[in-house]
Amino acid sequence: LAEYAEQLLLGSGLEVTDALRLARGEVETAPELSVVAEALHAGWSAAQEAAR
Amino acid sequence: MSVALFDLAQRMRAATLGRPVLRCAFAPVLPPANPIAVTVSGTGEGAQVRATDGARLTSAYGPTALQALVDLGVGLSPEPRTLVVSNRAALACLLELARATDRDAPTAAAAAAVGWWEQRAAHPGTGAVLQVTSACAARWALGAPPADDRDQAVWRRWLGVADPGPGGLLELADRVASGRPLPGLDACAEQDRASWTYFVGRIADASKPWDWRTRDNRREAALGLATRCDAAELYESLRLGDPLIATREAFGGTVVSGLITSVPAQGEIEVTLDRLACRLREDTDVDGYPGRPDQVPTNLGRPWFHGRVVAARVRADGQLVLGLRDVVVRSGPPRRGQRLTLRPRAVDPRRQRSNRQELHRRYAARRSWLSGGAPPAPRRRDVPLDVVIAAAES
Repeated sequence: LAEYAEQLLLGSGLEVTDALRLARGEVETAPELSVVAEALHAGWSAAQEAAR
Repeated sequence: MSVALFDLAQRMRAATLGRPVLRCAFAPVLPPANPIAVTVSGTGEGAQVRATDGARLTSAYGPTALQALVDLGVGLSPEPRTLVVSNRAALACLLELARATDRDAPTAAAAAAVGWWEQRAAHPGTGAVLQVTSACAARWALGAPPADDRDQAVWRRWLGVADPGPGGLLELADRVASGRPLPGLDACAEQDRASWTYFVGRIADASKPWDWRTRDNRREAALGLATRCDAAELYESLRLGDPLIATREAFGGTVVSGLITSVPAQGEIEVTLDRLACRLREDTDVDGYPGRPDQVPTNLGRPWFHGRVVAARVRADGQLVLGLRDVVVRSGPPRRGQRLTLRPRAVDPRRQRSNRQELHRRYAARRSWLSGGAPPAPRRRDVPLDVVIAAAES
């Protein structure tokens, strides 16, 4: 999964660990990354909902 | 890109938890009806078919490999059964065996049933064929790259199913279909039943002998294409009734959400959207509901809101504004500040059916080129992606 994630994030300037932290909502987002952060966090949260 | 990131986050969540996470709130497939799970290995003389109905496991080899289905009662029974296979390739192998079956062979009725299953598999939402890997991928995200979704062994590992044979397939089918099915899928089951009744009746009709292997004539092919397009459109429309799918699609722009910022006249509103992603073009009829995308109403009755998109513009502050006309809100006039989620108008299966009946009538008319006239000039039109892929595969 990490390799796939790296390819997907190529061009966004994000590392996989950054993406994971954004998805978890653990870090403040720079304005230029707000769309990326929102999509990641929504996906993570939707999955979290489903896991309950 | 945003949808891909949404999906990636679900996969990361699954990897962190070490178990699959749900991609949809409802079961994306109908519960299997009197199912029979089948695996096929090898081809021609070396083919082996293994099958189970949950109680018995059968197996047969070579040109008569379909005997494994006959032994489990597969034939032209009054009610259709669900075929459970790993993927489309397994169904193609089964079809190859069916096509090679002699029409007077003891396995002829089972071969015909395979022919019908193959036909129905091209109709998204069908309950006639359950392709386990694609159904699982519709229901769950794994902590693995998307390419792994196509591997049945990966699903078995993540879902804790040990049996690699047809018994394991049946177990996976039960898991993926458990819980409440997607609202509206029963329309697909009705279409399966109607199709089966027609198919069986056509084979049984001694006055007009028909072999299911016969190539469709132009009229049948055109109607078949219309039916498959309708099935794909209906299924896509029903999927937007799932709150998790609606949330995901809000990142692709198929579903949009925002605030009513202007009510210029009766039946007209402007909605300022939360995001710039929007696939709702001018002249698109839309349905809507109050609140955010995940607050989708579960009843399939009259929509809370409907209207038509007439304009889209980006404001100086970078926000996308949709103009809508012919707006009707069930709970009373629209108010500024109200939050609204919009989606393409829900597909009505009854209207689809009546449109197909009209097509049938027109295609059968003496003046139709499909029933003997000169073919018309080619014309371009949109065809759902599923149908294009199915056509490419066949």
